[in-house]
Amino acid sequence: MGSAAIIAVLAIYGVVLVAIGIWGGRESSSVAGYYVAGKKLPSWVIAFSSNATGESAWLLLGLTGMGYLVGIHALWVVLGEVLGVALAWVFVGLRFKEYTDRYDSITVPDYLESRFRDTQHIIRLVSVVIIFSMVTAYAAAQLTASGKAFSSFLGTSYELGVLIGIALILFYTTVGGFTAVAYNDLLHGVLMFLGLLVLPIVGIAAVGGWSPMVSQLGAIDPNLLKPMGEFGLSAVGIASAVSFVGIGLAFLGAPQLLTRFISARHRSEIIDGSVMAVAVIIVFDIGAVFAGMAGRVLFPGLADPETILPTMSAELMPAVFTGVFLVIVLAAIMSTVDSLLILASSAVVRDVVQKVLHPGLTERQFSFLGKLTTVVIGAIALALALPEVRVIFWFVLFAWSGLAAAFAPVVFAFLEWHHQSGRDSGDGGRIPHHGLLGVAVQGAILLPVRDVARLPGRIRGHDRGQSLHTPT
Amino acid sequence: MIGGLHWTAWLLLFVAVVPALALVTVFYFKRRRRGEGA
Repeated sequence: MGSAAIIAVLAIYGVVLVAIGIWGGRESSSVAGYYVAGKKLPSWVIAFSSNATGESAWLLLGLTGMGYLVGIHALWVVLGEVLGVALAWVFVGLRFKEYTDRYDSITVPDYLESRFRDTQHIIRLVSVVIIFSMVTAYAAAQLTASGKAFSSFLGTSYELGVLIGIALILFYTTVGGFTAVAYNDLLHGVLMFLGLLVLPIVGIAAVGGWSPMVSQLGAIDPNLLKPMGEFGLSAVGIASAVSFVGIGLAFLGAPQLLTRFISARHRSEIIDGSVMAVAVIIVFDIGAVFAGMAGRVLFPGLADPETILPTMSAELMPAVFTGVFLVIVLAAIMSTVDSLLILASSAVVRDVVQKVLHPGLTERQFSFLGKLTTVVIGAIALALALPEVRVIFWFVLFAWSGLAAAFAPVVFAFLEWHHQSGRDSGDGGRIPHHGLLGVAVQGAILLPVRDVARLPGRIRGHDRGQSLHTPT
Repeated sequence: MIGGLHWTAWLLLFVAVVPALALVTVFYFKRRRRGEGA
């Protein structure tokens, strides 16, 4: 009976996704239509969809698990993400939209090439290599989460969960293009918002209220109520807090998020969307941490803290809401994977085929090629995800930090650098041209390598916590 | 007490003060840019 209710909720959700995919198809026959929804998106779609894309299964499984494991120390993540989103909308969004409209750019490599007058396409091609390699691994890791969500909520096989996830995503992404991705991500964002609003309230109520929760957390482990966690106010504690805050910096320049600003109908949509985006991320993050803290009191003996959300939804709510929470976890996964697939496809078709190799093809041909590339990248991600190897978690560390470290400093630093704005003459682009590549490549390689190098120690140290460090 | 503050003060900082500051910042940004006619 319980499984029937969950499957019914899942089926309704699948039908809605497919319907939005078909509806979005009217825009997807041109390159700009397929990759940036013809630059016609309103503020509320951009605000919800950018946060849904920026936050993956990590928010629902990882951050709730982190609240469970370390208590209010996890709130440093909230601090970083709220500041990251606010800074992105105030300092990046509007300027980035102005430049990308002026240059007629529809991808981040498009923008960088125009901004730095790179006639040899070096910046574009290096950007494409970084995007393609990171995105495929990142999408594979999210599909792994899809398989695990199905098996933990419904008891189905892992492989079936992965296949259902990728089939739905590939359908609406290829048929509906970025319009379908953005509106489906709006739906995903609203579902995540509601879930993370309701779950902590239900959890804290089940404990008996805020004060009982706090006193019981203190009784379980006093460190759960310490802002610096088990490390206290030491160098390690401060380093841990700073690294949690640092997760939010990625919002300043991850290309899958910058694409939202490009796709806005007008600059004013970014101004209107800013308040909504910050409000949504506040509810997302605080809700996740508080739900995890309540879960620690209610279910203190979990072997894997990242199962706290499925456990709470199954134990505290009727079966139909367990189905809703499965859909919410899937929403977080899909909203990230769809955007990544379309980003990687744009890197291949727009940035390499249209701008470098075969500029003479028709819009319809480029659009078809874009859809074909989306399917191929999805198939590669599927092939990486099906074996369910643990190394996948290394991939996602590599991908999230690599994408953000490669593009965020470059985009953020040069938005306000008027000397390179194109108003100066000839050699203006030369020096930062090389500096830009240095920053991007160094960021893409060194930061993830550092993270991966530290990972084996983490796994040996406390295996259960390994994916808690898997960023958003 | 952590860093001279009770833990509830830290909690308020995380879940109220910083989010409120972020919201005020974007409200200010919205008002100023709207005033410029963007």
